[in-house]
Amino acid sequence: MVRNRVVVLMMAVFLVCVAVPAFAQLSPEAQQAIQNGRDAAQQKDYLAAIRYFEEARAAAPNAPEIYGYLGLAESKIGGRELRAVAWYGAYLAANPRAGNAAAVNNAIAELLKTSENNISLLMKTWEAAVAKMPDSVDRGPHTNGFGRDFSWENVGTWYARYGSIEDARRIAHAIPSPGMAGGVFDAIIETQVEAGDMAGAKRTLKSIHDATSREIAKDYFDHAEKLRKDDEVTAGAAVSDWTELFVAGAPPGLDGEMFTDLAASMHPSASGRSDLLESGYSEPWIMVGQLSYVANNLGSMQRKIKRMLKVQAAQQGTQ
Amino acid sequence: MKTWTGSSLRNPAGDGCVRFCIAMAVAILFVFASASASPIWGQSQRDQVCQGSYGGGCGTAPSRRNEPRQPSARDLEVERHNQGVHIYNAGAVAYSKGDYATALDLYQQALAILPRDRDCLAAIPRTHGYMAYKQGDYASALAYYQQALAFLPHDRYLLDSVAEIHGMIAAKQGEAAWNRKDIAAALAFYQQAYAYYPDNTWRDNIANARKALDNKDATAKIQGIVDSFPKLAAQTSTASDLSFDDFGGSTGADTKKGLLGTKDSNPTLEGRATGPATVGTDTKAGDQLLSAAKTAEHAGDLTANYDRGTAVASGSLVFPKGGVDLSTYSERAKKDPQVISMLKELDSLQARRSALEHERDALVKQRNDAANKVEMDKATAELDKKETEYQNNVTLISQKSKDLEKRHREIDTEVEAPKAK
Repeated sequence: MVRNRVVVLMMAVFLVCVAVPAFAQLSPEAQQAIQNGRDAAQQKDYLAAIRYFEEARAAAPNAPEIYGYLGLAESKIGGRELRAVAWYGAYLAANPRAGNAAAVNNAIAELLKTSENNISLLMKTWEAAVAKMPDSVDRGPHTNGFGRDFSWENVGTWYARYGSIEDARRIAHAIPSPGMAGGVFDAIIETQVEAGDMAGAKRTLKSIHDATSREIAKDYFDHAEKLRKDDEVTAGAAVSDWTELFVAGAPPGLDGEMFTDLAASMHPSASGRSDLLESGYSEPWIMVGQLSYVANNLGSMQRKIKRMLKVQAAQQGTQ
Repeated sequence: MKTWTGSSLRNPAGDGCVRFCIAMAVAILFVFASASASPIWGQSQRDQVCQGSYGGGCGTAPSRRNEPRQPSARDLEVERHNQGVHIYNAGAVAYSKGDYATALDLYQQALAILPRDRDCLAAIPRTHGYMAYKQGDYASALAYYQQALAFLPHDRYLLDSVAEIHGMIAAKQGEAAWNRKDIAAALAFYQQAYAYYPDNTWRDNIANARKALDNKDATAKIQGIVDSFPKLAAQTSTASDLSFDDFGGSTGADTKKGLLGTKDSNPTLEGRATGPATVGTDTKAGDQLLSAAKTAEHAGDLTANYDRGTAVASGSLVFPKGGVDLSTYSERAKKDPQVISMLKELDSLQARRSALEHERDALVKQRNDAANKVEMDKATAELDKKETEYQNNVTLISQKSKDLEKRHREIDTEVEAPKAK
């Protein structure tokens, strides 16, 4: 009889452990914040939901489910896909065997796809903006000339980094300055070498007509293996890497707000623009610079996240 | 913006009156030189000069030694003339030293002596003109110089000055326009100024105004491009297959959304499935249905926004929903067989896309109206299939659009990209 009671008690303890969700194990403050966040989300006020979930995280910093809530709330706001991915990454890093890991991975894939679409649109917007720059646009008070070519080089380089080799090549061939065209070809070579496309990289090398760019390209060839490995070596995918990604690693402009409403962030009254104008920078240059800033930072963050996901997948595969 | 500060005004002492003085001086030198070379002649000439003391006294009758000759009327006239010239020259010196009040006074005196002398007549308005010019009163300066020109109509200095002042007036207007940020007007005035007087400062101002105008134009165009970028924050994400219940304990229903918020749903049906729309949250049965309905609306369709935004931003680089914008295509491109074929294919895909949207809407309605779970599951399965087909269709449109654009670029010169020199 006593033995039966012990068994029943053990079963009850087991059931409590299994059945009671993590939510219930959190402090009352965290639970209340989560509830508030969910209520806000139900009202579709996702920014408020995020604030509540952050409160919950402050009360329970190591609770994986809060990362999940944050990821989901972020994913509901267009333009904040990468932030959502970062929270989902933290959720999976903290809880690799989560029952919904497959669904979370699917969500990550979808979010990355949306982010890529947005970036693609951003690149086209950037390119269209550069095309509207005057030929003679000054880069600033201390630099003259090459303003437009300089911008083209930037656009081409980022096309290459996003893997749009064809677009990058199109831009590079159209840049009059051999050095700046060479910069784009270098970026193409870097991408090709990273991807292991050595034959393609060698073909690209033939398009370079200036010595400096050839030197840089040669360096990519010489350190091809290192280039391929570097990304993975430098990308950590621990929980803190994910949770800190948009805290420590994000540039100021990429706090989510900037890309969610590009036009508002680039309004003439936007901060910084008048200061730059007074410093002698031309307005087209400032605007294209703003686009370049968003595209570069967003692109860098996306590349970093992809590397982290790769590392995370490899780590979880070996576990 | 720089303003013109220099002046090419000549010293008025270098004008007609001075020419007369120089001629006189040469004559005197000639007399002295002759006297020193020939004592006889020199005596005679010296006598003339000493006795008469009049530079213009050549040809007067010899006078007796030690008896001053009475000046003739002509001598007096010459002396008076010389006095006028002397005063005029003194005025020119004062003018050159910037003492315009003295210069004016002396010119007035010279004019009293030589009332019909054109140089003297012109000197006074010219001095007034220059004084007005120095004070920046270009209108008065112009009026004075034009008065002076009436006496010396071919005087190069006066003609240049008038042109220069016309230029200065135009440049001043240009500067005012520049300051009120009316760059187009500023450019026109600077061009006018340069036409009157080709000064380098105005040439530079023209270049600066042109650049500013180019920048203004480019800024407006770039702002338009940026403004057409879709407001991503306003778009509801359809990417997630997850709900908040998936991440921890919850009192909510155990529901999951599919591509359209329908797959694997397990709502408790009581009659018709209806409920408040709460996209992205799963708390009540029927939410998914409305979520699906919302998603199916064009306004919530990310792809629609993407296409539209890109088309605006990059000149129809991506196939817009309303069809390909052929305005950027050359006639050659429009007649290209491959382009024609691609356009037909895109039209067909686009038509299918519209049809799919209608079919999808109909299925959402059908699912909303489902009387029982069996009917609802059936509609859900259909809806999922339709959504997959729709997504494939969109992907295909995107791919075909890219192919079309690639072909377009092959045929036509790049519009958006810079041209190789």
